[in-house]
Amino acid sequence: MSAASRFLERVGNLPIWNRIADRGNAILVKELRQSMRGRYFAVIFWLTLAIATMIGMMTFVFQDGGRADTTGTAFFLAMFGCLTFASNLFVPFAAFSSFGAEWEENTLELLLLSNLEPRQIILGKLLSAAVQTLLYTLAFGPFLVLAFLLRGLDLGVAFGLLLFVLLSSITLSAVAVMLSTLARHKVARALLMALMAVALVAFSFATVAFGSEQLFFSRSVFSDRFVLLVFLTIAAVVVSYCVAFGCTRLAHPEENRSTTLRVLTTCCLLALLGWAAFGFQESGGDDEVLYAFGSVAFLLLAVTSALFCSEPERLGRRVRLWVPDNRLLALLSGAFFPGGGRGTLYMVMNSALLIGGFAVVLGYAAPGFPYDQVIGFLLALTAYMFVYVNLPALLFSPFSKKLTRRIACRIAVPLFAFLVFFVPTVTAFALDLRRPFNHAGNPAWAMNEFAHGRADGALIVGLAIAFLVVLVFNLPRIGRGLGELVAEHGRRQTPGRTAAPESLAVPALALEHPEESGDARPQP
Amino acid sequence: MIPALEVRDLTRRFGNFTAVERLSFSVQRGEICGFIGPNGAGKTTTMRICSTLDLPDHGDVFISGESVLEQPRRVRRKLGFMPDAYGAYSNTTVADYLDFFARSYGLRGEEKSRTIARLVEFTSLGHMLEKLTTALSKGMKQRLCLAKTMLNDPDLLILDEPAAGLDPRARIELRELVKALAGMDKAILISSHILSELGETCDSVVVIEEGRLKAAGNVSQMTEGIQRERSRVLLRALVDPQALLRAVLEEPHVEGARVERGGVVLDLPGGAEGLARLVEALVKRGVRLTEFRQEKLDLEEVFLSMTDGRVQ
Ligand SMILES: Nc1ncnc2c1ncn2[C@@H]1O[C@H](COP(=O)(O)OP(=O)(O)O)[C@@H](O)[C@H]1O
Ligand SMILES: [Mg+2]
Repeated sequence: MSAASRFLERVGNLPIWNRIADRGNAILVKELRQSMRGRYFAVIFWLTLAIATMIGMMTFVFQDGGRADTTGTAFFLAMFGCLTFASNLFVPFAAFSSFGAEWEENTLELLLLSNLEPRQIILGKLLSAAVQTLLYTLAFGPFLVLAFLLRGLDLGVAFGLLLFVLLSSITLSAVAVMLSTLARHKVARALLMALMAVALVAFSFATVAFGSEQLFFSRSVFSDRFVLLVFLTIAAVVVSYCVAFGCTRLAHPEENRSTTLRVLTTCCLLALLGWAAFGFQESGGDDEVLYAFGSVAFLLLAVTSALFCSEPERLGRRVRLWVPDNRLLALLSGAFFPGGGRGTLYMVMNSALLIGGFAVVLGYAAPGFPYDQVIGFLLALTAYMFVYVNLPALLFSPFSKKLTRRIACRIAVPLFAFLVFFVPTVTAFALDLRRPFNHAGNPAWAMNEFAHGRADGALIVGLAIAFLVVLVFNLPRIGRGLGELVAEHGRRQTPGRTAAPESLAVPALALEHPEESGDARPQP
Repeated sequence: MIPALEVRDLTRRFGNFTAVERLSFSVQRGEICGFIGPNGAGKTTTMRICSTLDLPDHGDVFISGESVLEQPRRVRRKLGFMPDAYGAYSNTTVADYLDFFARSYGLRGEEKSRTIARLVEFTSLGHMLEKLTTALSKGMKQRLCLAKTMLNDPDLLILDEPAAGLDPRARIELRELVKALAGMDKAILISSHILSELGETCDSVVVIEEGRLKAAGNVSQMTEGIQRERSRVLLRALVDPQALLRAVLEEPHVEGARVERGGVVLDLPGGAEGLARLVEALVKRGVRLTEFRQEKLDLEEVFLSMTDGRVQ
């Protein structure tokens, strides 16, 4: 064991690494050195390989010494299983605990002080997870080649599965790093760790089950050329959100913790719009595609807006510097600045963007298409999501300076949506009405009505009124949010903003020279 | 001259609790400034704001004229902060630790090796390079941390209670390092809740209590200022000390008289006038004085007289 880790250490200390490392991410270099020197990685690494060898040999024996038709497949599955557990369980776990150590040892602030950006720190952790996964995959290389040489393995499926495991390893590591940025306290960390262990074990088993299903049944999902693309997209989106969200957690509350997430969300919405257009065209004008993508897009918007709309209303002191000097520009970019009121504006603007986008897709791709149903569906969806998010946000906004209240607000959003559905349903059951689920509080039913053009006047008017009322009551918040941006311009124009205060509260005993305590600061 | 550090009207609240209130002071280059106050006075809070890690509710801090609020990234380049909690990494040697932080400060190749070599020599860590950071003694950790803090060659060093928990020898070594740094024209803000740790090292002190400035200024000037109002005298006479003590206690205004070094030490308010009156009175009483020496008040006493004795 120690010989092996000494070997790894020797390899880690070759001078060539130094030259490569000079170009690489500092965190990545540190993490790799740490794991090379540490016991955790080495133990897991060699243990996994030993177990894989054993399982491989057993498979070989059970498969009639390699003469059975399924030898290759079984052998591959065994290796795939080991690789899955190594890369989808141990790697994310290591990523989580390595970030936890930064909290524990108070080193995170040292990193921030050295002018490393939160983004670099998180990407460094993520990259080191990726390198570990790569090491595992390389170590399994000979076994996998052997599996390919044996009989019966479908190469397409095998490559698809390998790619899937690598993608999921990166994605899970990103989630793990993101979660660990949330867990500052020991107890929270221990709790999250336990939860993660359960989830990761379950996911790994599911992946192995999925793998065996794919390998042993000829019709595989990987025969569809889009499947890997979809996996890739989902992985990219999840990783981007995890990185962006993790970065905001590392920033000080007075810094900008929102703009990146807002821009990312708008980009995702545009991408979804693009996918919808593409899918609509490919499917020969199937409007189910639009309903599906529309729902996903609005759900994404609602979930992210629940964060944005419940932010503290006032600009942080380090965010103010970002406000453009040009008033018009400040107004136009207003929705992308942090703050609850501006979050509501963000939701309105992006809903409009989505509806407009879908209208254009329809008008462009299917000129004769009766699109009032689709647009009606999307408008109703907007109304639901807007009310769900912005009624709690409005009620909580006076208290949004406190973190606990913000969290309460974020919990209140789904709770409110649930209550709006649950209370009328139960009442209907109690009154023994005929269709207890068919009411305006049940968006699934209402959306279905809209999609089939059956929505009655009362539903439409009711939704419109709910939307307008919530919007009107939120207008002052939006106005204040925008006003703050415009006022920032005025504040900068006022001279003496950084002038010395009138009285320096130095007691009589202080013998400080007056010219030292005065405003000797030159204006840049 | 632009001060290396200027704290201006700084206020920081945590909820309803005000940790720092309208605090102002400045530190010049080459100056060692002791930042002194009892536990919970707001030293760490102030230092974290100076290091861009926290933000004030009001006021600002300027590092060589640049605001920590508005230019955090530029300020960080000119500043070294050594927090009171030392950050070690598991499975990391001293060499790796310095190498990593040098990289995070953007040092590469030759420059990096040269900087690390210089700092290792400065802090005498040469024989420790292959030791794990988690296995170092407190004094060694402190030195490593100092070396790390100096990687970016900062103009201003902020050291939060660096002497806490050090043995006397390590404390003296640290003091020498700090003096050497000041000799390199760096400004140093160094905090402590024990004044004697810093007394001889500092050029100036800033005393805070409950977040408010109690006093600030040059150490020798402050001592003189105190002496103008209050003197400490050592008396020796031809009678035995106990008799001398009794005689002295007859006098009004005398405080804290006690037998010490074969004589009597006492405090007396009222400057030169008071001293003259005491001598006059004693002579009238027939006490034959052989020695009358005014003693220097040390910083500790200055400090005690300012903070109502609420210091540990
Ligand atoms: N993050 C925080 N939240 C709430 N109170 C804090 C926080 N940080 C410091 N305090 C309080 O501010 C006061 C000053 O703390 P600190 O600056 O650490 O004092 P010192 O370093 O002088 O011992 C203490 O009473 C402490 O409880
Ligand atoms: Mg402290």
